[in-house]
Amino acid sequence: MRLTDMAPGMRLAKDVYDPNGNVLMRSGTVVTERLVKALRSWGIDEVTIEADAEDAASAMLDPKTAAEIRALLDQQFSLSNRDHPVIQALYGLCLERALGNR
Amino acid sequence: MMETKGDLLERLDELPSLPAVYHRVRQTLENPDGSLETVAAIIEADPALAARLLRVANSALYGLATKVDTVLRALTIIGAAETHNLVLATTLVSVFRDLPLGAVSMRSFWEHSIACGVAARVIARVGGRASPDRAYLAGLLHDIGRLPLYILEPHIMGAALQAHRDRQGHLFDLEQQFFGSSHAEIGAALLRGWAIPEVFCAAAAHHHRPALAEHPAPEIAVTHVADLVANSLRIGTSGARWTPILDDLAWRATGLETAQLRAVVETTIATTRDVTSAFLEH
Amino acid sequence: MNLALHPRLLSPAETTGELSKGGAATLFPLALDVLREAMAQLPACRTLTELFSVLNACSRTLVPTAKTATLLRQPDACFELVQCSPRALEAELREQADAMIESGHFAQALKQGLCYHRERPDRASLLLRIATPRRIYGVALWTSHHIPEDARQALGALTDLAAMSLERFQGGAESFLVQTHTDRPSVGGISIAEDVAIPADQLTGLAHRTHFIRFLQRALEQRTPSTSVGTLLLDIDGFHRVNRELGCDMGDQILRDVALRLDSALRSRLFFETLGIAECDLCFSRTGADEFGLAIARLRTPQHLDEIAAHLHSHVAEGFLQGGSRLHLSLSIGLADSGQDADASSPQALLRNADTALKKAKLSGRNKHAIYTPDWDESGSPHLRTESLLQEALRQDRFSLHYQPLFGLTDMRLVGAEVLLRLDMTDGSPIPPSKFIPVAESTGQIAEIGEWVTRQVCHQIRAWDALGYARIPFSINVSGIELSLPRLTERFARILAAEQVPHRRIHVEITETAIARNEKQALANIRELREAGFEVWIDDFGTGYSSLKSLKNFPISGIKLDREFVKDLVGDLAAEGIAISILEMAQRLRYPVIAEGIETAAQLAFLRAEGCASGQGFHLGRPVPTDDFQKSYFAQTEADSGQSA
Repeated sequence: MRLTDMAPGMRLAKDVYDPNGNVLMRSGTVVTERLVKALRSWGIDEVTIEADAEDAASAMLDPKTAAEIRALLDQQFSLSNRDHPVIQALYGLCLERALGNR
Repeated sequence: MMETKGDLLERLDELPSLPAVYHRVRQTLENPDGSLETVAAIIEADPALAARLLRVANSALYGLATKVDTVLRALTIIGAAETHNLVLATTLVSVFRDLPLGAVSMRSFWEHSIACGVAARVIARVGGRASPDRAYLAGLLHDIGRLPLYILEPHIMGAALQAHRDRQGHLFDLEQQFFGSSHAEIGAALLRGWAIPEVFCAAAAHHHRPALAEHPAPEIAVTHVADLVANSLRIGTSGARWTPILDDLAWRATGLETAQLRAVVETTIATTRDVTSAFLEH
Repeated sequence: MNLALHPRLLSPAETTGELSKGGAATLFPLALDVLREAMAQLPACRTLTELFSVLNACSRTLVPTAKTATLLRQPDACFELVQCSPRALEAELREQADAMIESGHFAQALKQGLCYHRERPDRASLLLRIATPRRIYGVALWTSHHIPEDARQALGALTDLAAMSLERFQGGAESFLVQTHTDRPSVGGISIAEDVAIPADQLTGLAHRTHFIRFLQRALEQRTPSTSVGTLLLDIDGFHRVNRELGCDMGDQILRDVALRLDSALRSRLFFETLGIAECDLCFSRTGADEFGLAIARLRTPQHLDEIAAHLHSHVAEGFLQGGSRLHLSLSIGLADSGQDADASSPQALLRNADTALKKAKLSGRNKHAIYTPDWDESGSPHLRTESLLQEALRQDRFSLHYQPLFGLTDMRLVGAEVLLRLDMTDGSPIPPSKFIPVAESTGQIAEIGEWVTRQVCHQIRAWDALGYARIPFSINVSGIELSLPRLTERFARILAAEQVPHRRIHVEITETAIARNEKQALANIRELREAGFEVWIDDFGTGYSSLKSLKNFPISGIKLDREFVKDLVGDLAAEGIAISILEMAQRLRYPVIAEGIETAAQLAFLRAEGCASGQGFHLGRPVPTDDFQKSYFAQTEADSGQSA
């Protein structure tokens, strides 16, 4: 979807990367005006949006908080092999617990 | 650097040794004429140990249906093989529980060890490849080699931790750099010195690099994965802050499916708190 | 610093050989100097503020007319303006940066490393990516009517240097969390650069106090009806002793161990799950030399604060391994909860409450914690209230001195004055010394207050001397605490020397109780004071339990007869008997006597008749403020002497 068509409340369906290949935004991140501005800053015109995102619990979560939680988890997993599905699953479980705690 | 390693190995006897009661229990268990009654009597001669052992036996670890209030009954329910592990775990934690460490507290250390033991037990049970009891003890003992590093070379260990904190590498690799050895190697040597059964020494020796084990054993693979789970969940710590690298072969050797991780994680979190308090609270 | 990583620094233009050939495309010598300077200074920078000040200085040399701004990457991938110059143009530069994000020039810089763009005939902008080969940290913006090609190159190299410093600060994390524009309470008047500091203390690796306060600020703003903000201050009991006895290196090592250990303990999942928070809700920081702060945002269960303290205590209990033996350290912990809305709504208020709790914990012994409750302010802890009041009073100069005249009883001449300390509450109501002196003694503030008094009296002596008034001595009360500390004389002498006041102008008054506190030290102090030329008087004589011993053993100058023996004089035979005996005994020992508390003419007549040399009391003159004293007693003696002349 083009940046101009995006509306707050939508969700990213795929991870977004910076020019170095580092993750900028995770899939599942809720679209906000700030996020659109971030995408524009990086010159990313188009992203994939989730067809239907009905996860009420995390939709309520402040996107900035979620980003902070992710940033800390990214740090914790930074020396691990992130490409391994098991590590990804563990990351997901940790993220879920951290979000669930809130 | 290699001097540090040799030096460390020679100085392992400066650490407290396992109490006589453990050796007496072990002799009794290995003696064909020995009985659980005798073992229970030996344990009860040390009331503090007996009380602690009962707390652990009644903790979520064993999931006993009813509360047991005598040592003999506890031992009868959990069985002779597990009795050895229970006595070893209890005496070991008691010996080291109150020693001072440095940048990590002994409490954090045991929290991590217990979490790893609990995770290993769950992984073994769910994956069905390793004995849950042995996996548990292997997990509990996997980082024991960190204790000599903290106690005998606090400054070098402090520097290694600082570098690790700055994300210069995994603590295991930094230990290699700073000591010319690692807690895995030192831990295995320590356990061998205590004449602990070989499977536990091997698990301690290879839990970071399971691929390098001469005789791959399911307990090694399970300990490797359990350590990774405990580190990701961050229940206590033996010093490591960042999630280590998963060895794919070891993962496969556990027999676990990715989808079963959730159950492992949840059981580990739910059980560890209770078991930790059974081991550590006064 | 590994320059090999940095392509812009490796351009052939940088070698001296190329330079000597000259040419528009080479770095001109000034630029080279600037870069050298930057390379020398940047590695020493420890905060973003320092870093930006070096960069700004360099940039001003290269392009003096340019306006500059720096935008750093945030955890949510947005960019925030964290520094701009001149500061006054913040809004304009922010707007310009936003425009460049909209136009895509910003993204071009991020992708290609730089973007030079002439927006208007009179304005060009240079955008440079702040990045190392591994990570992108932000974008720097220069805008001016023209930025020459060689300056652009130099700025490029400068930006690379800055990126390396940022990498060093961050230890790998890409984003710098700063207050975002919308977080700020108001737009105008906020200087950003001052507020931004690197969130790491060099020794412990923990966040700095500034970051801690910012975290608290943000946490307070984000409170909801069901959450509050918890604050803990942790202080290592008696840490100064560790430094003193084991040396500062060892002290640092232990401090690092404590910091790391507590940090590890706070990272544990069991801890988060107990509190129902996530890791990003915690900020653990080094807030003082041996003080740590823990802030907990979005706290739903303030009743768990106790458990947090217990959790932290349990991780320190085993002690620390030091030189092969165990070193026991304990923590005092003060806790405060912000409440859900009103209550403590600023970081400062919250920290003050936590600090009050910390002091209370300290007072109740080592290894304790205390949770702040608002009613302390009202009644709970007058002691604490007084203590912080004293601290404020010292800082704000709210103490004042009153003077009570001493007269010779035969000729009623002014022979001296006793200096009395007064403290008023902010509302003007006085706090009696009987209330604040014991507190000041128990907290050790008394020494500081004592020095203040001495200095103040010396100022006054010089002022009155300059006006030509009688050069009378002034009596200063010295507490038991001060008397039992070594080098009392030295402290007096230092102040008097600085103020150029001769020692004979100061009389020291001590009580017998003060002597009893540490007789040996007191004796040494009294001897030294006498040898240095100070008079030392026993105050409230007769009420202490060692009256006669003090007369016999201590080299004092004289005694002040306690009001207890004066108040019932004339009529009460017992009172008369005791007064007469003391005066006789003093005469025999050749100690002059000052009678205290003379309130009637009859008492005055009695004491005069019995040979008491001097006296003070309401009948002769109440303690009065400085100006009144001057008007009532000095102007009068001056007039007297004028008449007699």
